[in-house]
Amino acid sequence: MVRMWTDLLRGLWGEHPIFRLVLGMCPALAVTNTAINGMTMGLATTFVLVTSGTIISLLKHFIPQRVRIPSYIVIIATFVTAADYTLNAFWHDIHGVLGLFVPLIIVNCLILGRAEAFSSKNTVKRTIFDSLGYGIGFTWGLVLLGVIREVLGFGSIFGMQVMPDTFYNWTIMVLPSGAFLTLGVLLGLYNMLIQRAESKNKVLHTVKTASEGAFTDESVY
Amino acid sequence: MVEKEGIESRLIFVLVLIMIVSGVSLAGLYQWTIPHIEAHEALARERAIFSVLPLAAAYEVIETDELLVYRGLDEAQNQVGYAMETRGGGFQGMITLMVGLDPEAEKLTGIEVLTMFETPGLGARIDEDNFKEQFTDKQFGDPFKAGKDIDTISGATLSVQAVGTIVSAAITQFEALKLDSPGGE
Amino acid sequence: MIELFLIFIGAALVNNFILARFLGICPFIGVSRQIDTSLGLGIATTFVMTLSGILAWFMQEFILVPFNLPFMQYVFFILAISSIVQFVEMALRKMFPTLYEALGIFLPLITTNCAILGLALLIPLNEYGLIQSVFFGFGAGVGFTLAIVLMAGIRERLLFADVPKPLQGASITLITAGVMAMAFSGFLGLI
Repeated sequence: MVRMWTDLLRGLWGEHPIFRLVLGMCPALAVTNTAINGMTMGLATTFVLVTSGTIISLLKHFIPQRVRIPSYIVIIATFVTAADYTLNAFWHDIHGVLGLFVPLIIVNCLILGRAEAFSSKNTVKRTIFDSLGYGIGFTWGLVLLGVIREVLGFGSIFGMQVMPDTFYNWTIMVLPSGAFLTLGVLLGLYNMLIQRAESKNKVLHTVKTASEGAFTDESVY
Repeated sequence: MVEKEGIESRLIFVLVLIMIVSGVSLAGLYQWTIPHIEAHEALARERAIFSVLPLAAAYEVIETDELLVYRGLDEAQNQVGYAMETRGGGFQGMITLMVGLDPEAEKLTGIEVLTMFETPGLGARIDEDNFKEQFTDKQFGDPFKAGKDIDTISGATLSVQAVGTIVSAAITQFEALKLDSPGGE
Repeated sequence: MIELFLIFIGAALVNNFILARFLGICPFIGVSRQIDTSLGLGIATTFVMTLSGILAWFMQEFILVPFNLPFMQYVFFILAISSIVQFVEMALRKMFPTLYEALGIFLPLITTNCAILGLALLIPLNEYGLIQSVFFGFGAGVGFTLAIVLMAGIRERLLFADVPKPLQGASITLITAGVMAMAFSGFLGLI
């Protein structure tokens, strides 16, 4: 049971798919100019992550090593198509908004990465927890990006006006460059938090990294 | 790397089997979802017709060679204008629009976006009411230049210009049809 | 002819796949450390993109539409792309072993480069013909190469800059990309 929890929690913070592993950047940048878009994309990705992970874990002894990548890709593409048609049939409006980026879930490196690194080697039960963890981690990352960009770019959160009328919308936050800048700064913040936690945990480790830092500084000059 | 023939054929067998299972299950899903998708599309089309022809209470389909044109009628069966489905290239993919035209006054009565693949939050905002409303009452002769005749959406000038180009092409096509306009010149 | 030129310029500069469409970000951040490697990856990607564009058009025109299999589009496209990548990988290993070594694990990753699947999907969406698809695919590849090589050039300089520790790596790369995207948006007036 403890193992399940670590499987679940890993993707939520310590190995966060966007901020730590820097995977799935395209949807993270492209659909996060509003919070709702980010959330829908995150949930669709979680669905594909969990379903394809389960199937891949079930078939791990059946799929030969040499054709595993094409097999995984076909399985993932199948679930993405399923998600695409289901969204189109029952959540038509949101499907229209996400447009091209629903099929692009197929090539989200996060999904193939988890399939290769975890699902193909572990039990179905552990795979479901692992995929859920990474999926939810990915989703909250997208929502955070979406909230920041929406507040500054449109003055609203989930479509509700939160900024006073006098607030002048930062158009750049909605544009491509705003996506890059926001994600870059968030990555920096995440690194800072992680580094601070690490240096608190291990004093020895800090001494080591500090000396490494000194070394790189010297090499610069 | 010496492979035995048995292993090679197993590789192909597994791949083909996965493909078949995937194909069959997707075909099933397709059969199941397509009526819903088509119903959405039909509903969206009907809504769009009434939205671009605010005076219409009913409509009839007019057969033309390649264009889908609808004649809008009010409660007394008087013609109130035409709605036309038209498409053209946008920033990411094809944009399909419903354009409402009043041949008597030679102006637009409104536009609606049926399908598009523009960037969410940027180009996709061509589907917002503020943007679409500015086409209402535009004259047929309007040049539809983004930034001059149509207000742009920040970061989506290309999508906005695409809509302008599609609308003005639609007007040209519509005028070439020479549909009868009772009460016209 | 003018139309084809516009498609090329549009795909390479105005709607640059990386900086305006957000396609192909993973290799853009992962493989942009050195100019040589990024140029190699860019050329390989351009080649795969052009071929994928052509193949996507043929599949759409002769398999998916005639047999009414729209729901197999994603599966077919991604399989076609991974076959092309496999082929390029074998060719590279035979002909340019040093480049193969340098690109290393990133070659199989071309398959999961969303720029390529994105390109394949954009062709039917834009209703391009065969020649248009070739120009579109090639232009997209050139734009990808341009962006990734420029970024590698900047990152080679960044090595000598005093970047705060938390911002090092992907973080500063993304911030740089943001500034590049601003510059590229200047191309909007081109077409």
